[in-house]
Amino acid sequence: MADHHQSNVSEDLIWEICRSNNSYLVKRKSGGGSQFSRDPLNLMNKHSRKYAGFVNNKAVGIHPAEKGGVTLTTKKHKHLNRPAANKNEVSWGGNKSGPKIYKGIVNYTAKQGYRADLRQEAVARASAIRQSQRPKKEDPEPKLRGSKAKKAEEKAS
Amino acid sequence: MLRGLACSPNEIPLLYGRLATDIFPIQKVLDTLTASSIGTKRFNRHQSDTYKCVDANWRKPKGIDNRVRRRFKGQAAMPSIGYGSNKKTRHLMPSGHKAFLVHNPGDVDLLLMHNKTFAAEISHAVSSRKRVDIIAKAKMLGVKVTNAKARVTTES
Repeated sequence: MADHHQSNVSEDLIWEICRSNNSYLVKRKSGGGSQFSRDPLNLMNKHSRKYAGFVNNKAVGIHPAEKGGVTLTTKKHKHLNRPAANKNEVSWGGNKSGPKIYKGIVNYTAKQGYRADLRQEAVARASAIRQSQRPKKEDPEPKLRGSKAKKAEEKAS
Repeated sequence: MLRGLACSPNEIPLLYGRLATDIFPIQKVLDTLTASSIGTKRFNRHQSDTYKCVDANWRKPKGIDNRVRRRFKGQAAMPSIGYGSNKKTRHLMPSGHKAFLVHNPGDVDLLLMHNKTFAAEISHAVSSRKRVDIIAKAKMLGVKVTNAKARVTTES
């Protein structure tokens, strides 16, 4: 019997209903028909049973936080029917070193037996987010060639 | 190492008994494949060259005496499964990426974990002002944009 904490709809049933179409799903015809997911609790943005955060009772999401930090979101096992009250959030600031953040993420998720299968993806995503927060180099000025180069030279001299 | 390999289009060369794509990045293997494996050849409908009312879009000839259908010598080739490109290079651009159509910076976010396999392609109806935002976002995430110069750069 399901008590009031549990959902009375199974994960598999939700997936079967939602896999062909849901609001997170992004389909494209280019590139051989790709499917992505906008689900905040989807580590790979991939439309699949394993990564679908709205389907699994336990799911992990990682997002950029303010000032170069990273926020980890997990689903609580309680109150599955109350999505708003169902979130755990942990944040690391931008001044924390990468390995410390990754260790923290693994401690919160894989090591506690909470979705150990997502360990690598969680660390990879945190790493990609940190990479994206770093300042990027300016593109180099394009070298002029042919007649344009001659004109620029005449102007300069 | 790869340069010396002889290979026909639509075929991944073998190295040490393994597919070269298992050993080298797909980019390197792609470079060695001939350009014809990337380009596409169209099949034109039979007699579309003789009559202007017959469109070039492919229709399989069905007539009992049709020489194209019966594959006579010197006739146009018909499409068949053998013309399919290799699964490993199918849908790939010469850069080794697949294209993913984006309309706004939020779409680029989807490619955060896939920037090695997918490249963003900005939809044709996006204005130059919004293209700048998309390109900036893609640069932050390390996502390649196939049409980054369109509408953004100006001729001097």
